[in-house]
Amino acid sequence: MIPIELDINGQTIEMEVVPDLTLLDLLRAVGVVSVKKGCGEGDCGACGVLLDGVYVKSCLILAAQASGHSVETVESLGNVEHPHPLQTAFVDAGAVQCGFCIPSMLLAAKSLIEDHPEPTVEQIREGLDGNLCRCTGYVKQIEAVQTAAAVMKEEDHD
Amino acid sequence: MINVEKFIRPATVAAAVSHLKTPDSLILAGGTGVTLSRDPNVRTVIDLSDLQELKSIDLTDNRIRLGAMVTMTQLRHAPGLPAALVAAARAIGSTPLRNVITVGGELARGVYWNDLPVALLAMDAVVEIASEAGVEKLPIAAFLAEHPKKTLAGGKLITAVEIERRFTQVGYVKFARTEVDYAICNLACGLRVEDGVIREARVAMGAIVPLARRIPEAEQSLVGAAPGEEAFVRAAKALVEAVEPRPDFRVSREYQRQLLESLTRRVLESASQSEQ
Ligand SMILES: Cc1cc2nc3c(=O)[nH]c(=O)nc-3n(C[C@H](O)[C@H](O)[C@H](O)COP(=O)(O)OP(=O)(O)OC[C@H]3O[C@@H](n4cnc5c(N)ncnc54)[C@H](O)[C@@H]3O)c2cc1C
Ligand code: FES
Ligand code: FES
Repeated sequence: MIPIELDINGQTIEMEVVPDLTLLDLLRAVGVVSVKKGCGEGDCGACGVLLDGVYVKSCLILAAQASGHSVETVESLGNVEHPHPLQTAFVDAGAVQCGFCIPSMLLAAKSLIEDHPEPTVEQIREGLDGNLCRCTGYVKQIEAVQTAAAVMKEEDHD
Repeated sequence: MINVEKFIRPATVAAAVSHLKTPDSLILAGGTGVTLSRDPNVRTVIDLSDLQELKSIDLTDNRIRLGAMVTMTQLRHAPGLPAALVAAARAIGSTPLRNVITVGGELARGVYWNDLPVALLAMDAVVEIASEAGVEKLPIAAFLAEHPKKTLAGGKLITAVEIERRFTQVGYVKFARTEVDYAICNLACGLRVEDGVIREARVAMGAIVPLARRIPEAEQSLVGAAPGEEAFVRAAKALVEAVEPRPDFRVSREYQRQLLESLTRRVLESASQSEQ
């Protein structure tokens, strides 16, 4: 067993884990179920999280590797009462259907807007290239990210 | 990772190398190739993520130095790098993968789809390797003469890659079914052109061969010629003749050959239009 300590959405967790536990499985085991397991091998992007602010696939990160770092998931973005501009824009644009891919896609979008506060379509396509969506067809998300970026710029939102 | 007992995050390269002595240890860089490993023999994982000294890109005069823990995203956005190197980094996986995949991992993994080694071969990069015996520098062609697992056996750690800007023109192309898929074919070239004549040429490829390598027959056919369609068509033919494509369930051998011919011309054309 390997002792780890990490910050998940502002809360510090300390525990002992088996060495092959992935960050994805750890998050789901402690109740952060917005992080989804699609393929479990780096292809689908349903498991995306921000690790120290960097967008990564949590199925390819070991829990032990994440120790000492901070993890952010969609839970920290907003909720139904107080949605983040990205969440509002995704819903308004009709960019959400079954929703399986969306928590991760929102984090990818957040990260790409941080890098490019006024993203071009090309920058959005590149920023979302690790997120498969089997429902929507990838068009509405691009619109939603542009709308959200504009709102965030106005509100100077983080 | 099933039998791992120790998870170590060394603070210096020397400490990392000292832990590598035991044959049951495994280096963890970006983790995209090793996280899901079920190798029962691995007991110690050496996580390089604290080695700040391996995370920088240094540009001096005519040289480029990439630390082994530099990510593909860093290469993608760093100013002043050769376009072919940026293109190869951009061609790899998707954003969240590029955010973690490292220069060292790309070199050490040794799978047919690795993009970065192909570009580095075309630029005559030199691989810097640390071990208990000290630091050695291996030209990348020698590094890849055997599978990197063999080259790195006995406790060796890649610390950096160095590139001298000798080639005036460099190019990179990847061909895959989708932008994020593994390459069906990838090619890179480096040309040193003086007074309208190609003085030196490097042509390297991956994907259609099991491990990235240079194709000397194509390189020789270019030397002494003027860059242009005639020379590029000749080089493409020489390359196709020299390469025995590995079986690929996605495409037929005839397809691979046609692809190789047109992509060789394309990469040479794109290089001849580039300025390093
Ligand atoms: C879905 C998916 C798609 C991908 N697509 C592509 C693609 O299109 N093109 C491409 O090129 N790659 C692609 N990759 C990445 C590629 O398959 C390898 O996983 C990657 O090159 C490994 O780099 P890493 O930094 O993650 O290394 P790790 O997984 O951490 O390590 C890989 C190997 O290298 C060794 N190693 C790492 N660093 C060092 C070092 N400094 N010194 C000595 N040994 C070291 C490790 O011990 C291990 O054996 C993809 C990966 C995934 C999961
Ligand atoms: S679960 Fe599919 S990429 Fe991680
Ligand atoms: S909304 Fe269903 S997978 Fe994207």
